[in-house]
Amino acid sequence: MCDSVLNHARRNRHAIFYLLFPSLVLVLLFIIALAMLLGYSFYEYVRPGVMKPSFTLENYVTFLTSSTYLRVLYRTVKISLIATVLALVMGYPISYRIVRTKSSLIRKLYVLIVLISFLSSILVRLFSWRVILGRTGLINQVLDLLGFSGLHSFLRTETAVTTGLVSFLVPFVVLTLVGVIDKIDPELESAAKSLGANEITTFFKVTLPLSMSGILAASLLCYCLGMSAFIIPLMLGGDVVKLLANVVYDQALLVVNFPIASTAAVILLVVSFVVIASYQKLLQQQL
Amino acid sequence: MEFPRLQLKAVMKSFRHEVAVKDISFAINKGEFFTLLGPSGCGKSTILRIIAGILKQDSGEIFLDGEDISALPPYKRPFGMVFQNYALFPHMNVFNNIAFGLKVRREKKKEIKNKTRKVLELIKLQGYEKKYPQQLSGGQQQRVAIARCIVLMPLILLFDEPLSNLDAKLRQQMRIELKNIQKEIGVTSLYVTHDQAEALSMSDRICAMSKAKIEQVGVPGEIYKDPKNWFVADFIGQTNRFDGIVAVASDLETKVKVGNDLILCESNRNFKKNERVILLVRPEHIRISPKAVSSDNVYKVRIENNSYMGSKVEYRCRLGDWLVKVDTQGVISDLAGEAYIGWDKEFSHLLKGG
Repeated sequence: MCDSVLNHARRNRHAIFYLLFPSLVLVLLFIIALAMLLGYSFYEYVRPGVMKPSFTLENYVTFLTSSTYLRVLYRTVKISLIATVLALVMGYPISYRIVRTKSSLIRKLYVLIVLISFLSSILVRLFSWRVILGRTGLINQVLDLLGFSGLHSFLRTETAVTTGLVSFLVPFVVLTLVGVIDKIDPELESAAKSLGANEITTFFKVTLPLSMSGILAASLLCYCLGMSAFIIPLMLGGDVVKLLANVVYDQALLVVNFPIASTAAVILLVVSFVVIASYQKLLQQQL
Repeated sequence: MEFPRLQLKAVMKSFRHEVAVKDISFAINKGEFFTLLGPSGCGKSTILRIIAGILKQDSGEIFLDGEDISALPPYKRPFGMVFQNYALFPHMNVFNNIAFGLKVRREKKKEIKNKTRKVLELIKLQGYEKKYPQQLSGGQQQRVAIARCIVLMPLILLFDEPLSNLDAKLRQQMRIELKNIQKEIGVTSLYVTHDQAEALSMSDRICAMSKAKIEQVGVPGEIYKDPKNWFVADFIGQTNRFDGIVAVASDLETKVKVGNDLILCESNRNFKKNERVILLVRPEHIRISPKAVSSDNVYKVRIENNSYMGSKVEYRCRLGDWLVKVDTQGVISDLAGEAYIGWDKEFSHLLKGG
């Protein structure tokens, strides 16, 4: 079937256009939306819901001189990076265990357990974190039993947001890494050991370098998901630990200040790109 | 007292419910080239992996120069292992692959450079230091895999079917090269293969295996000329099998009754009259001719099939119920129809019948 489509396409060059049309529409809409966003960020804010088309840098000045906005930006980058590293550190051993499990039944079971977290709604999972971290939650009850009184909620802390984010990211890490680690010949590890390398040296000299492409992909994925996280800080950080996406939401839909919301969104995008680009540059120098 | 370099005592290993290695004991002397030969699944690779320490035996001991090393992890055993798929590190160039073990030992940079250069010379791959494994041919990769081991001066080199991924021509060439390298550094070697030609041409001693146990240990000539059982006779080289009963057993001669014919053998007092035996004759020991040949055993046969192999011709001849394989040197290549085959009594080899 594929062949006949291609043959047809060769005969009729217009066919390619028709085939590409849906994606062209999507790309176009995406570019228009981004362009509008960029445009709004230069508009003038008059009052809630009203803005005046112009070209002013005032919104950027406001954002970059406000300690509140800058603190949120800093927090967003920080939590994303920490969550990425933690998710990798926790996800790697899980992936390795899955790949090196001999019984295919048990291996499938492991993958299923990882997938279950994808199948359950993020909201359900965040509510369960609230149950665990809350004032009368599991952790506090245990601490109370152990004699630590003066209960305080773990919710609305950066730790809570990071924890929630990590638990959200680990399955992404595992599913990305399983494919890559699976391609590493276990014979290579045997070879390293027969050449005198112990388990730790074997891991750092052979297994880890050969998983680098997966680690790179997983870390970019995690970082992007972290930078754009919205529901996790909303549910676990409340109005205390907001990330940039929450600020964009507040400004766009609560304050109805589209220019500053667009500015925050553009800055989020730029900062994400800068971090990703410098990360890739760093890795290229390493390799 | 001189200990053998390597000794296995009653080594056993099972996977789940399947016995992979059953009660294996043998000893390898210093500098010896010892081969485990057997069909796939006979447990020979498992033994190699147990010796390397990659697999753990269920019971039994391994001794290195008289010292029990059964419990040592693989990285503490002074062995080098050459893998079937080479197992070169794809993210390292040739130099770093060879230097891997030396770096793990934290040797000085200058030492590493010197030693690496020397083995590259030995395997004739000077100038390839910067190449990556995927840029090398199969034979070159195999040589790097060997170099990576011998640079560490291991007490024993373990080869796991190292030539089976190469094409026939290259395999023969590598066989000679590998043997030369082994002789040059005089390292004790344990070689695993299912290829009888490899085993016969390279080994000092062969250990033939089937179904998790040892069938026979001996020098190549012994294994070929004096197989102890049907498995060894059949697996190594080609052979003709006749099932019969001993008709005459005297000090002068032994005669075996096969169908209606009596086959003459050398006197063998291990077999008594009326005992069931298997009589073996190698195809290259049978002569074939259009006229009657003068041998101890001469039979008239009908040629059913002949295959021209260049250096020899293989005939399949009908003799009663038996189909006899006969190899000749290329001179007689146009035989057809009726012919005579014959062999002398010393080529009739007897085994206990089942």
